Amino acid sequence: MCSAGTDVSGISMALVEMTMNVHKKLSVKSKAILGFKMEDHQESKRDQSLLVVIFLRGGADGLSMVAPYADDGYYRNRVLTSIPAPNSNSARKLIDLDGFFGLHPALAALYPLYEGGELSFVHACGSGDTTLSHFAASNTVERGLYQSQGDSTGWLARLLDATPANSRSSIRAVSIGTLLPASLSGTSCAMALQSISDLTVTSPFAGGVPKMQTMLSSLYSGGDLVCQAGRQTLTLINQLKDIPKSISPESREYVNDDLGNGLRDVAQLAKSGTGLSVACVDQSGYDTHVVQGGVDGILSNNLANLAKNVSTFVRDIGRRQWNNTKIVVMSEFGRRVRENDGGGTDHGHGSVMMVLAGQGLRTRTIASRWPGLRDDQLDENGNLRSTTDYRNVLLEVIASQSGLAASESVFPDLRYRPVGLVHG
Amino acid sequence: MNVNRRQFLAVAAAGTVSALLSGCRSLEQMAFPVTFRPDFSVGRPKMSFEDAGRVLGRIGYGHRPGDRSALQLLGLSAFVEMQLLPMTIPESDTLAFRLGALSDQIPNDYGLLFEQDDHALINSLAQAAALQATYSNRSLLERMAEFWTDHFNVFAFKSLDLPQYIALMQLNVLRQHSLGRFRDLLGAAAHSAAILSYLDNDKNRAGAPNENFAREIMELHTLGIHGGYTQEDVRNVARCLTGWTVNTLFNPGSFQFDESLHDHTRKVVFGREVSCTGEQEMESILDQLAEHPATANHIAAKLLMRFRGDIQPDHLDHVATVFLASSGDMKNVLRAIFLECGVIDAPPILKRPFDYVVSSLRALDADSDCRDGIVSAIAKMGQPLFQWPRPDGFPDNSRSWSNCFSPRWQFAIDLTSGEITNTSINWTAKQNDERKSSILDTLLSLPANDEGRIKLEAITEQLSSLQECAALGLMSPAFQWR
Repeated sequence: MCSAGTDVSGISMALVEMTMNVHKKLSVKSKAILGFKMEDHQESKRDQSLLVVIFLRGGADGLSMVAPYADDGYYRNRVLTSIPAPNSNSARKLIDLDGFFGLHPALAALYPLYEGGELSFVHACGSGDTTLSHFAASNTVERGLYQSQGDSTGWLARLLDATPANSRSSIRAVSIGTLLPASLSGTSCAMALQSISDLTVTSPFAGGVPKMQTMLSSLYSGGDLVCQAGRQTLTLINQLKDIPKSISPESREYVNDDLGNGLRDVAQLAKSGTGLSVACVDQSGYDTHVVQGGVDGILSNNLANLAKNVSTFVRDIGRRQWNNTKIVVMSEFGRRVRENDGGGTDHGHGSVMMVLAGQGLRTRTIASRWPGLRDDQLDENGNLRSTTDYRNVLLEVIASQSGLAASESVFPDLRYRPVGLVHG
Repeated sequence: MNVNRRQFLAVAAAGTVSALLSGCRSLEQMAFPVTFRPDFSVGRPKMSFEDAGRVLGRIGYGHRPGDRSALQLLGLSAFVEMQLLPMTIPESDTLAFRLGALSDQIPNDYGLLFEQDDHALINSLAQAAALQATYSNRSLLERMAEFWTDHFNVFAFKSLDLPQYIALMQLNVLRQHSLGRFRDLLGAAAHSAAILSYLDNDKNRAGAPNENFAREIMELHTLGIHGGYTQEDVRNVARCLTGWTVNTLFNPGSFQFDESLHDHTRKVVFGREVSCTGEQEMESILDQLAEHPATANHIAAKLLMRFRGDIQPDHLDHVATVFLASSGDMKNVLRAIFLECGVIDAPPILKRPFDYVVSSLRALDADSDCRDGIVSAIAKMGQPLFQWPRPDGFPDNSRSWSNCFSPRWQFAIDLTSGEITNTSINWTAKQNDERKSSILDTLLSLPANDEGRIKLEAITEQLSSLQECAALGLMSPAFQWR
């Protein structure tokens, strides 16, 4: 700007002034945000805000998780896969939420969180994806798009880029699992690892691991993606070296599955002050084309494990960190309203999202405009319509953590309509 | 054919053939097809040492001792032609011995096969895959078997009997048709118990169509997501597929068309009426899918990704054209990729875990049963074989695999320090040079002025143990790429 100052015309000078004013305003605003955050950090090293995204792979049946039992269409379309209404005589039945929707009994472990105002459901959420393909739909959703529009970075990657890095850590995001999800693609501060126990390297060679680390640091000093990932691995190895190996009693309660083991590791990372701000964990097995089951069965087992793992995680990270944590549970799409004759459900559209937070959730009721299950209310493929762009839910959650200005840039083409989940 | 011993060795090693070196096989077994006349102008390397390393890493699973210099003499096109005719390449005795030892775990007898424990069987299949990739001389066949295993991915633990069905599919479908016509492979896959069961087609019947297989056969196996089919087509292909099921009674794991489950009513697919011919309806759909230009594009793009690591529009056009013109003959398609799209000058590809482990074993000429120690190391790095839980198969792009590297590093340390059960390395054979850093050339194919190489050399020269030098070579960034 200075070098241009000598020969700028009047018009561009005016532009420069305008720009500078905007900058001034912005910097005042961001200082306020930063000041607030810094106070937080002085209180405790642990108070890093954390966002956990649990992705239910395969297209989770939102109509079973949070069933619209009072909509006639529910029991008309679902016979083998329905759950008895809360007021029925069955021993195991839906847990009433608001007189219209009921929670799947396998999710009972989450009900106390709902009662305590720490869990909200947003029903009939969806993207604009019409392919009904797992891969296309999850790619769209994980990249934070409305419809597929070619290559794009992931929404969590854009979030990380839009929010200031905490200098203490270079690993701001992890995904526990084989690979990095598309939501984290495009940022270099995220890493996939299967288990934090993999970070314990042992070496019989002279000088042991410390010498090996020094040699590796030198070898991995380049700029390509292997070198970046190698350096991040070295950083994590260093950080986790000092973590107490003691295991909290809560952490024994996770189910021994990918989600449970993943959440245990996320809790461990969060508790040990590594500066983790985003974590992704998957649960597979929701593609229930066949024998989905109702009260019991494949879906019910998956949901029971989900509920057990999430409720354990909330206790495991402790009140203080929980107050600074938000969890989003989402899937690529819901399932067909009418069950198929194989006792399963085919790929659908609208589904339910779950948001959990230790504090700040405004409402525990279902925030949704219900599109209805009558045949003429469904879309052309017989699926639940989506009345809420799923990105509105994501944006409201991240805006509560990172401020609206930074968050809005994550979904540049979204016309933001808050669903009213979170206190402003 | 008049071939002297040195020329013979060059061909043999590039194949590459330890058994041949002992002279126990006759030259006739290497009979070349008439169309292929190898150029035996000995002594004139046809490519650089570094390029030979790249070719072996891309078309095959990396070099073994002697492979690169042999390939330098043989040349790319002769090597490709040989690899395209795998039955002309004698198989190694080591492989036969190792696979023989596995025959109780993966029995030929159907009855015994279905008695095997599911997890044990999947481990044995993973072990067999690692053994074949490591010790087979037919590297391209192995690479293509892996490619099609991903393409027609089946998650072993989705439902009962899938591990057994996968065993049958590996043997009767994927290996058999790896280098043949795509239509034959597609047909065999569509009739396989593994695919029919994994994608729920055994539950697909008249009046109760299940769309799962119909969708994936178009989206993943043939046309690709943008291949132009509609949700209506998915529904109607699903109806054509009704009755295609698995025999679970008398001949478990074999295909069965159940007339009584088939939807015999009128169907329209891709805007055309399908004549009501029962089992033949889907056969005609398979014909249409196999020769569709979208399928040619989809398969060409995936192959280019696997072997070149990128998809250039002119390469894609060319390979797809060859695919269509040759009715999906994989030999022609692969020849076009290797000889006309260039595999040497392409961007580097990050080795997937299976590749990383196998190329380590090959470079060090390790003797291994490739059992749990190897199989579990590959899984730890993120590639548990036969256990990718979605029908699209393990991903192919480098970014997906640049994750936590400590499992790779730990494997490098364990392999070189003799910590992996039933896996050993003959170090005395590698100590023929005073400079410890000479082990680096055993592992890597880098020019002397390569920055990474210079750095590695400086570090390894200060180490006292050859094993540690080798560990560092395997851990280095350069060894992660192919």
